[in-house]
Amino acid sequence: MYTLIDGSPKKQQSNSKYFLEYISKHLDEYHIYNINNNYKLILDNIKQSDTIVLAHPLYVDSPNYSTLSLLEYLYNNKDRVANKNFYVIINCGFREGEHNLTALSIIKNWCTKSNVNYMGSLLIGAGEIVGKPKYKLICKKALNNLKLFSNCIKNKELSKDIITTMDLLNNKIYCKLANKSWNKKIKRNKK
Amino acid sequence: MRTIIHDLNENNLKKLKFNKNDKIINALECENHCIGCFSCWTKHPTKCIYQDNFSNIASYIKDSNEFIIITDNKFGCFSSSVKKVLERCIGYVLPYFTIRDNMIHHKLRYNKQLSLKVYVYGNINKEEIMSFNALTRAVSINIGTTKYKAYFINNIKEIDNVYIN
Repeated sequence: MYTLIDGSPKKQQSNSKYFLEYISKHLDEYHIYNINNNYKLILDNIKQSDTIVLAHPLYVDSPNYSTLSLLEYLYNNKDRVANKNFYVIINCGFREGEHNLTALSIIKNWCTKSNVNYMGSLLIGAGEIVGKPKYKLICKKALNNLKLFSNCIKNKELSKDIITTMDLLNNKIYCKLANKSWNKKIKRNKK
Repeated sequence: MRTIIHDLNENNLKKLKFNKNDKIINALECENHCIGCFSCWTKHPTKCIYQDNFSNIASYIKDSNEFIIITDNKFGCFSSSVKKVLERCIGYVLPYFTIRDNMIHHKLRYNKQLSLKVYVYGNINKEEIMSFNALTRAVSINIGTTKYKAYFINNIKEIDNVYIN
């Protein structure tokens, strides 16, 4: 059985949840938890699982507060998470997936200290775009990587650390489009 | 002025010297965490949507010349308590993107060179030190400063030997 954990603090549909829902379509037996759920409930499900999949956003170059807080809780109960398989998906709003590498190193340190079997990662850039079904035509490469990663999870195989960057747009154009979208949000909020 | 965010208990905090106008923020007292609403970017610039003692830290940082973080080591990262406060300071930068150091980052809201010092206490291994150094560097790029350093203190009792006032 799989325990899928959506680490996003957002109450509405999050990008992390979108990625987990995509993966869950390839799995038979799983439970999806949001980080706002009771930690004990998540731990109880982990005890019955052999594989954990965590998806979280990048906040201040590291796992977001709620994810970090759950990791601290699980570490304090490490006898119950030891030897489980562990996959992670980290997404950020910047175009380049490399921004997630520092957070990944923190996750790997947690795995080592908790005696968890680190199985691989998917590091997603432009998560705000990749995580929205309406943009799926321009995110073919990222979604292909998500498919590859899902297959590894389904077969409980080791995956390499896959870095996904929005390669259809260059940095300059990406900044321009993102800034336009921020202006729209600011204008909407002024009304 | 300095902004100091810490997760120390009262006994360890007492060992450190502070200046009269330092803004000292005890992360252990922070109850509300960032919910990713971006209100501090798109609605009330720099101000967190939660109105409590932690809603306006970005403006304290703006008025400081040093930004000091004192944190327990958690897997090569800030403790979750300190992290909770840091996520409520993102209004210090703008939501807009720009290219800095060949990568995309947020545009800076203020044109100033802060000095960033991170004091990490607790047992720490080589990999965690590497993560912390990378994390400190990444944060410094995001807040637009080239003056940064992480200090490591294995024994919390020795924090006053390492911490420089």
